[in-house]
Amino acid sequence: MKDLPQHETPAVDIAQLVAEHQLSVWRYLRSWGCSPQEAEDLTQETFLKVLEKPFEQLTDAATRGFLRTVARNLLIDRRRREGRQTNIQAVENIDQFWVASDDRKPEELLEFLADCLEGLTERARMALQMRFQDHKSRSEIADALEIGEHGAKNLMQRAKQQLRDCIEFKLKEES
Amino acid sequence: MNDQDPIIDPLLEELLGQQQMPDLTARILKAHQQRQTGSQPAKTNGHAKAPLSMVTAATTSAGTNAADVELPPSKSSTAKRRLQRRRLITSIGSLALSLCLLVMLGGVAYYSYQYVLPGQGIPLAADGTKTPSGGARENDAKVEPAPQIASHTDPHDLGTKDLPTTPDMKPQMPIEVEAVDPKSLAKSNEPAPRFVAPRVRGSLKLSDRQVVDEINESIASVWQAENVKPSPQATDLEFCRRTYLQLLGRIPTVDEIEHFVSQRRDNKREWLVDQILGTEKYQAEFASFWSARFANLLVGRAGGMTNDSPIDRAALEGYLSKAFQKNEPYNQVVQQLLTATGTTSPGSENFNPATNFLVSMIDGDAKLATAKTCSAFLGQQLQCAECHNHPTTGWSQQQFWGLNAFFRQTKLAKESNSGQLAIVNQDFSKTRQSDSGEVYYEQPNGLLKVAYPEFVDGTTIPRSGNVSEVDRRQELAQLIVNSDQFPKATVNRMWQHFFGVGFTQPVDDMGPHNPASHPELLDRLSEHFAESNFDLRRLMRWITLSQPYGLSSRQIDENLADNPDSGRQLFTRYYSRQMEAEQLFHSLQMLAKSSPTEGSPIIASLDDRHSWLGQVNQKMGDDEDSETSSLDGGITQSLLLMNGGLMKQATDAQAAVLKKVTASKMSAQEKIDHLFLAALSRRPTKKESVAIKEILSNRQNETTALQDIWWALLNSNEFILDH
Repeated sequence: MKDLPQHETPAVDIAQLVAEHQLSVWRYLRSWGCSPQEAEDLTQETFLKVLEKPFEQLTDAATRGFLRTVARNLLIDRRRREGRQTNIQAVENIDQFWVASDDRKPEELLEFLADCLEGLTERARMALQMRFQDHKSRSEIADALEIGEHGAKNLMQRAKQQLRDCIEFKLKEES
Repeated sequence: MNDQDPIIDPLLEELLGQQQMPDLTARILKAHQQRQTGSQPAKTNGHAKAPLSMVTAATTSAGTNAADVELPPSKSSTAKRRLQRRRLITSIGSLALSLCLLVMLGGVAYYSYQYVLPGQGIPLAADGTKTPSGGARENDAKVEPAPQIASHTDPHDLGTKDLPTTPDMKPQMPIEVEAVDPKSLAKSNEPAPRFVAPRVRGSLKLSDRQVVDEINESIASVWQAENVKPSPQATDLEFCRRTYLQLLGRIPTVDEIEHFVSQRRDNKREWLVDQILGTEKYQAEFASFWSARFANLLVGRAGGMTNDSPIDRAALEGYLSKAFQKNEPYNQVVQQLLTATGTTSPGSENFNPATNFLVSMIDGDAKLATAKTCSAFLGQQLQCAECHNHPTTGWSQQQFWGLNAFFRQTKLAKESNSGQLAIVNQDFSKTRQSDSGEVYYEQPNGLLKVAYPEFVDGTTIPRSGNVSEVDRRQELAQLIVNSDQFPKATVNRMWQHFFGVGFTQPVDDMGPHNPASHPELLDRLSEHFAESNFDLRRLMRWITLSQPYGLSSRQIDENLADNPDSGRQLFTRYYSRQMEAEQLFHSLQMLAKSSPTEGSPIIASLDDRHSWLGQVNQKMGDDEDSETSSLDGGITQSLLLMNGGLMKQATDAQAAVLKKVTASKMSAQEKIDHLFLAALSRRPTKKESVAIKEILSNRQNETTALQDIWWALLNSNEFILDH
């Protein structure tokens, strides 16, 4: 007896599918609190899971939405198995953000971020660079900027909110 | 970490920290090929459209074979069928064995329930001396050798005791209120021993000036960090208007404005605040406004406004008013409210107006009382944890029901003599065999659990439910006022009253999930407030004399970033907002009715206030005791203001202000000035004066023209604005 053909839908170019969407899946997992390495593992698992069954590509946005759902379920499942609890605030906002960026190439997000960084005040930008580029502690940043630790925290928190607003604005504006 | 943005942080790490993703394409392709080869036959059996939940389950089993593990060659279909049959037989065997075991265990449990552990019959719940089973979800269940005051009956000593009764596990329906003898309401001669000692706090070493300086410095340091600048100082007239509104709940009269403006002293703002807070003239009015304000906090704006409400709002406000007049320490007031017993209305010797706080919240297992106590005095929202562990705030069901257990000795009753509603303390125990009054609750997964009195910070008290051994509400009240969260919640709430925005938004949802905008200031101010012996007047004085309170409400380019609506409150300006219902009522009332004698306090009667506010606010009738207000800038508000009875009184030709102006010999300009000062606490601009003079000259009857202008002023947006 002959085996049935595995996929009846047109074959998907797997290499292209992975190349196009891996970064957005990885970033999505990072936004759910995964470390870069864990996000890599789960990105791989996501594609393997999706490719297990017939898969039809409709639009990029639909594909990314589907990939995100699978990635999220895999992550939740992994957390359950590990018995770990992760508190993530405003989950809907995270999802909304990624839905809004579905029509974009993943590289564009970093371009937006770089643009938005330019729009920050000098002090705010310096604080973020010290934090993310030079990996300085909050107290070191506070000392360098001659403000209290609370001030440094506030400054960075607000700068990040401005960046978020700016990117969201750009996503909306340029769509 | 709360200051992390889940999206921006990783992106910044990618952009600035070079934490980028390597290309996974080759890796994924290889793993995919391996899986394809390994699982080909299984695919032909086809589980094509598994839901995602099954997808994840499948992943679990397949997870380990992922990328680099070679799969064993697939077996033949006959071998597979044989294997499946063998598995089926094994699973039937184990199922049968499990069933037998279950039946046996059930028998043992039933036996112990009936004979060994009388009255503690639910195996999943704990008995009086043991900590309950942790249950599936509780990983950190800890065994505590809890102190037990009550003497427990030996479970084997059945001969002399009544047969056990099964604890009532059904949800308690609203109970019929029992009649009680007035004598039983009178305070017992032997109060229960106290287990939580009052906290000893140091007294405040700083002067008021130093505290105000501390507020100013703290706020200014955030301005500097945020690179924003404060708006200029508010004018004296603006300061006067807002201070009367915030401290007395009404706008100032023309005389009061002129008296303030005529002061030649340097510290005239401080003088004004002290006049209102410290002089006899304003005491009754001050107490009346703040009693209404705190009654709103305790029982809601609509609480006690209808005839069918069990709350005697007038009695509650009267009690609070006395407390404010005497400037009783706030911690004492809260303790009195939480521990009150007696009847709710006058007419009985056991009358205790403080009982009106809890009277409407005890029914239904005191769940409302639990949630309200937590939000009103600790600034924390625990109500969601009634049914489930809160996913973001960290509140657990155990914490809700642990707090709830403190209220279970509290019962509603009717005094047999007077027929009045009363709150009484009654022994609370689920069984006759044990004194420990435990509370049962159900987890979302159906598991029944037990809770004993446990404060939100984990502090426990002896478990006995006998009032003579442990008075749970006394202990709870002490725990609340001892906690650090109590002064914080109070300061945050008061700050919100004066600025329109607290350090957290909303003020009653404090916690690590909702960090304060100025945490250090909140901490210090709370400490000072507690050290001042919880003196609310001093707290009000500190806030009203602080720099941010005295700033103009106008936004400038340099403080555009200060946007409380988006959660960024920097207090670089006074946030203008609509007057609250009480402020609007008192202001209109004051404009409508002149005080009987000059200089006597302007206090509206309680009935008038309640009937007006009652039409504005209504209870939603939900399980969180929510309310709805029609004073929300909508059509109802517009109609109420344009055509309502109170507005009619205030704009009547015989109304206090209007009559004084029309009957006077003032010039036209003076009359206009007077009306503007009375309504808007400022003089008219040149443009306004010219326009109004033109109206006056075109109208034959000056009185009706002034009446129209007065109506327009009171219906202007500026009138209802607190700015």
